[in-house]
Amino acid sequence: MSVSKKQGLGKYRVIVIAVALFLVFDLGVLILNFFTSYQIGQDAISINLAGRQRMLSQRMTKSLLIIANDASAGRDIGAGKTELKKTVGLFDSTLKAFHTGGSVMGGNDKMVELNAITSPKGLQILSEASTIWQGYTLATQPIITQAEFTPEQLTTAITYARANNIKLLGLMNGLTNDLEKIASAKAERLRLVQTIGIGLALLNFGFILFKFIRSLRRSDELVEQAQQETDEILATVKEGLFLLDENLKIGNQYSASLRTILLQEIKPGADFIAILGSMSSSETLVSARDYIELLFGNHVKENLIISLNPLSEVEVQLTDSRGKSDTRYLSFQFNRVLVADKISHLLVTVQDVTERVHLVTALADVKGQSKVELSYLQKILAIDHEQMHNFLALMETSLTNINAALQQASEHGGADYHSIINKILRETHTIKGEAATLGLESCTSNTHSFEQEMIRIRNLPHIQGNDMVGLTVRLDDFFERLHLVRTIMSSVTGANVSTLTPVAHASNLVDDMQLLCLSIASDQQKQAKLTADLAALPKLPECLTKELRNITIQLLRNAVSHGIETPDERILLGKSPTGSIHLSCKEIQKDQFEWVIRDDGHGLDPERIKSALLRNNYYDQEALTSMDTRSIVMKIFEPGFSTLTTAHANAGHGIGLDLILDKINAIGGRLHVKTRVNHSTEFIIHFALGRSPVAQSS
Amino acid sequence: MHKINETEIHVFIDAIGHYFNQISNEIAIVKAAYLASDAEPPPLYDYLGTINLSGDYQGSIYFSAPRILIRHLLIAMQEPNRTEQDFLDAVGEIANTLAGNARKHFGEFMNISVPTSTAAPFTELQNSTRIHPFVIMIKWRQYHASLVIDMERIH
Amino acid sequence: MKLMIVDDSSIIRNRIARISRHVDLAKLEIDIVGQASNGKEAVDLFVKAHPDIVTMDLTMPEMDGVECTKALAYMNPAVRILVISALSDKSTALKALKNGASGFLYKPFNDEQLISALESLVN
Repeated sequence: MSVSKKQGLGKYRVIVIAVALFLVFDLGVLILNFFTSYQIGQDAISINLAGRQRMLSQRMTKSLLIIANDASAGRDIGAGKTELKKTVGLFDSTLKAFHTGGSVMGGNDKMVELNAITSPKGLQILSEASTIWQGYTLATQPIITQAEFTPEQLTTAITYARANNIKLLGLMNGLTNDLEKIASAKAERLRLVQTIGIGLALLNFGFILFKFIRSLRRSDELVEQAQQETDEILATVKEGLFLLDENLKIGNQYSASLRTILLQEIKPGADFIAILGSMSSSETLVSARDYIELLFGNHVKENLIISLNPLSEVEVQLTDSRGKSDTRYLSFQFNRVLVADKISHLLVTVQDVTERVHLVTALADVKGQSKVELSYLQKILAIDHEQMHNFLALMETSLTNINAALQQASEHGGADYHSIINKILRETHTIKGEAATLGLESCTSNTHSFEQEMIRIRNLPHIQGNDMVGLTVRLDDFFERLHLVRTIMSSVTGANVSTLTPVAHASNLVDDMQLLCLSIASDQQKQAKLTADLAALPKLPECLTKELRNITIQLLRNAVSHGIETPDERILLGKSPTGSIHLSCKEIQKDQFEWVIRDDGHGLDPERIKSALLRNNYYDQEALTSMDTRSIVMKIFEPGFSTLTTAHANAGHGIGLDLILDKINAIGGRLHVKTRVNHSTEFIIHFALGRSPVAQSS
Repeated sequence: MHKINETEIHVFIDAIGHYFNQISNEIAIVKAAYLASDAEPPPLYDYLGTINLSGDYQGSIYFSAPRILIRHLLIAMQEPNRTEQDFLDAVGEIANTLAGNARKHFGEFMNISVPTSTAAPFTELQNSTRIHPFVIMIKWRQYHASLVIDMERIH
Repeated sequence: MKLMIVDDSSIIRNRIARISRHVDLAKLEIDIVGQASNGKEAVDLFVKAHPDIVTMDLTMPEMDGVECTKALAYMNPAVRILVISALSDKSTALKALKNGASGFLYKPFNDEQLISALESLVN
């Protein structure tokens, strides 16, 4: 406050000084005027009396002549004598007063003050007049004072008077003129001073006017500029801005965005609560009113309740001019506006945060969905029960393995999230493969998206425990689906599905693989046909068949995705547009089996594998050039390898082949790969009965 | 019945991370997340704080931590007393704070109970609400603690 | 300034007490006149100790923080109550404010947050 006062004075200082100067000039001129006027008044008296002396000198001579006349005619000379006495006395006292200053009888028989003459010329005249006057008084003395005077005395007086009368008149005339000249000089000076004073005052006034108008104009300009800036800000600012008064009415100025955000015309003085009421729930309204009222009260501390603003992210229903209703999320922020330490208004900032909210909820929806589609259930019910039991048992085992892998992270000192993810990926790949053979598209796509999520995490520079949370929630979804499907199935079949032991169904293997082959091919706009010769299959124990089935699923997936070309490519290469895949199982010696899956696609091209290895930074150029072709081809069995640049449900994740190798090892088998570029690829698995760990354990 | 989603799990994880950060300037990280079951009950340490839920939700939120972790936490709080009662108090207060913070997401109709604190040995956790309660393993400094989210929305 | 601390956790009470003696708050001359672990105790203590400021938990046994705030504000409208709670839904906290509390601080809080909240509360 004190600061603004100082600034206020500073702003008006020049004007205040100018006005003060104006007053000083005017007052100075006025005082001078008074003073000089007084002096001119004094001068007027002097001039008057000097003029009277002139007249008196003539009257004295005239009185002497009248006396002489009356005396010679024998008349009474009393009147003449009295006149002469009075005249001489008056002249004498006036002359003395001119000399020394003092009171003199004025024209109207009143005493007036006369100033002594000071000018040199006046003084000279006075001294000359005094000399003459001395003779004059001496000559007239007997006439005035003595009752009887001699005619000689009268003659002497008249003679003297006659001789000096004109001189005295001239002197007194000179005195009058001198006084008049002095007075006129003074008047001249006064006029000059007045002119200068008034001139200065006028100049000052002009200055004030100029200065004042200029600063007025400037402040007007500033106000205008500020107003313009405010207008511009209000017109362009993205947020809705307005002031709210204690009666919860909107102020006169608000930003243009407010209309677009609130999707309605806002009038100054509009009721905020009514506007809010038109778009939000009544509970929100109550909380909002409470909060705003708390802010207007002096009781609460603004910065201690900001976190409680019920409108910081409020859901509203907005209806546009065409009557279309839309759910939006708005954020209202309130700030107290203090004027003289009192809360005068709240500054309200409104933002549309719908996109932000949608982003958050969309994320939550994607992660939290737990719906079992109807078509999925129909599919389940259409599948052979035994097959379904097997699938569910496999799924349960896999899910439990996944959970165990997730739990591992908490047990070891430094969790190797990377290897945990790889472990989970292998499990999900098994589920996905099985789901696809059963035509459970929904399950396949769910598993696929689960896999993609894991791939995303696997590619993170630093995997953290926090990244596992989403996987846990998805795992819970899978468990729930499993539970739900079992519940449904048991209600349909009346059997407790989970207790049934899984049974591998060799007879269905060819059908399933043919189905899978068609489905993968059609997914990729390819054509492929699977033929099979599984004459030796019945000799294998069921547990082994089950493992072979899993291996075949992955190899088949690989063959269609990576081996078989598109029909166009095949025609260009002079092949039939439909690729063929052949599956065979032979007993080559006693208890020695050969399992082959062969496709007539473009073969494993070492150059393509090399460039994929380079692209994924698995090996550098130097390491690759030192490898032989066979080593390079075998790199396709390393975890994470894929030649596809984008992943789809069937391949490209770089999982699968490493899983196959795991499984082949598990049954004690050995894998061979035969390939010819643009001709074929053969995966050959050799295994023996009685040597397989899986077979032994079961 | 509505399932709890990942965002909601993160509400609790964020709350616990924030809690340790506020008290000690050191965040607590998630070490692992998995599902508990009858066969694999949630891991419990020396102390257990429980908040029971009612209203629109049912179930419980558990926070369990070893004595050493609570001891470090009390030191970080500059709490001079370290009696058994203080350990119980701390574990209950953490459970209470986590559940309270979670109301920001779940709303005021998730009623939360006053915390119950117990010390080992425990009888098994009461019958779980979910088939598979979520287990979030937390690591703060070098110590582990568990947060168990066993809750469902009922309307 | 006479301070009363209401919280069912003794650890939190001790912590608030310790922070209230922080050097940054020395100018407020805070004098802890009482600690209560539930609303009922707080009301009894309030009558005896006449605190100027109160920190108030919300979730407490016996009498909860909202009810307690209401009672204290009724007895002395000038008392300044800072609600310190983990309850992050806005409506409960607003209820406490409407019933006479002056401010709100989320649990968990750190030392600086409580110091600045107490400063704001007194200014």
